[in-house]
Amino acid sequence: RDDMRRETPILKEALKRISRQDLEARNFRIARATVLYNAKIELPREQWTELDEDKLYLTPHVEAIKKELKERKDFEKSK
Amino acid sequence: MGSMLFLILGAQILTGVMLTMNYTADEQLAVVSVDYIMRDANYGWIIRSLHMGGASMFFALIYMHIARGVYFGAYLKNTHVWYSGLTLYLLSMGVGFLGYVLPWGVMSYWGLTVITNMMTVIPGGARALDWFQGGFVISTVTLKRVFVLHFLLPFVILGLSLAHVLLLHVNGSSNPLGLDETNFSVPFHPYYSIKDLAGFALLLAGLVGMTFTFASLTADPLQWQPINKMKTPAVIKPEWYFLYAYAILRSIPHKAGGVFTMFAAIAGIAVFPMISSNENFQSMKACPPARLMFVIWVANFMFLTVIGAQEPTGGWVLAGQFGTILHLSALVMIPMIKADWEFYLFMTAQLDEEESVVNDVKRFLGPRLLSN
Repeated sequence: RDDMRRETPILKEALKRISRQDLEARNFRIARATVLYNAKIELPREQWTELDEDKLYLTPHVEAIKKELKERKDFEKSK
Repeated sequence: MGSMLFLILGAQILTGVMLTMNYTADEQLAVVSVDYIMRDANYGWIIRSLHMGGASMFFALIYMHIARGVYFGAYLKNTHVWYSGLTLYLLSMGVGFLGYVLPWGVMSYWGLTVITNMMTVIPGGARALDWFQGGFVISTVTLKRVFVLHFLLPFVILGLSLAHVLLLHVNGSSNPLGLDETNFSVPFHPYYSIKDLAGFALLLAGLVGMTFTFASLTADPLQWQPINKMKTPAVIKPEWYFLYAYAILRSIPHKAGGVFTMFAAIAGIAVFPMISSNENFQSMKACPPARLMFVIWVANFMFLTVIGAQEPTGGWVLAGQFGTILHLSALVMIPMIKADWEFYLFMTAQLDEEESVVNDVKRFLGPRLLSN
């Protein structure tokens, strides 16, 4: 699910905070998806990621960044 | 598709300038000059047929371009591109309508009468109408200014198209999967130059095929009859690319209500960026329910086009009203369905996490609780 997130400034910041391993795995999955989509090939069923196996590696960072931005905004308002 | 639109715009400007060399914007002479173009001017019939067919192709491509943008969530990547595109669409509708008036056939005159009288729904509209017409009735003066506007506005469209493309290149093109692919972009040449050339070939084949075989495919037979200002035709209808809006206009019994609903339906795609700004997933590839709604929306658009061509009697009126409600609600429902689907997907993840936390707690504390 986190692979499908669209490009936003928050996502770009979150990508700077994840581990190198997660980032490389993400890039591999995206590149694979693009190539397979263009060739109109589906992944074999056994390679699909089930919903319960899907680890959200980006969502915690995205939520943390949103929280930080909100805190900063509230601080600026209270000044 | 954008490049194909650019090609068609160029073709329309080129053929339009050539037609201008022989056209006369005068009530008595307009039909004579068009006849001269078709019969006597060297290859005038080709130029005119290309211009007519080109207009239909232009709008077909615009609708496919907009549908592609809605499907792949292009409005999320760069809202300036979306709004400049919407402005281009509205200007193109104006140019198309003005161009249809120039041959001065029955549909030209009565279509102009119907559409310009829509101005009267706004306060001061009657005075504005007289100002636009250049008098209290539609006359040669009106035709002249319609011609001038039809000549000038395409150059405005050309300039705005360049701005549209420049704005696009601020963030770059999107992709069908809606993924963050900044690290995986390919060069324009040869991938997209060849793809665009293939599109051009297809487009030109269609346009030339239409010009030389079915040049009058989309034309109304009444356009070849002389105008009688004292006799309103039984059926007044615009070209096919405006029929969906015409169906919506006619489906509301109230004049002002019909006009405002029609404009809401035409410009309604402006709401997509406004109500979708918090979406995580860009493309409908990630949302099957939204794809179903999209297909229904497109089918309804075609249905409204058919309804617009019919006489507003019997079951067609109810069908038009149903189509109008579906069209307007789809504009809001598509982003809402996408947002709900995302919420469901991420909420499931949170529930899974919470359950796994609960299970961990049970596993750890269970024996202690039981023992206590």
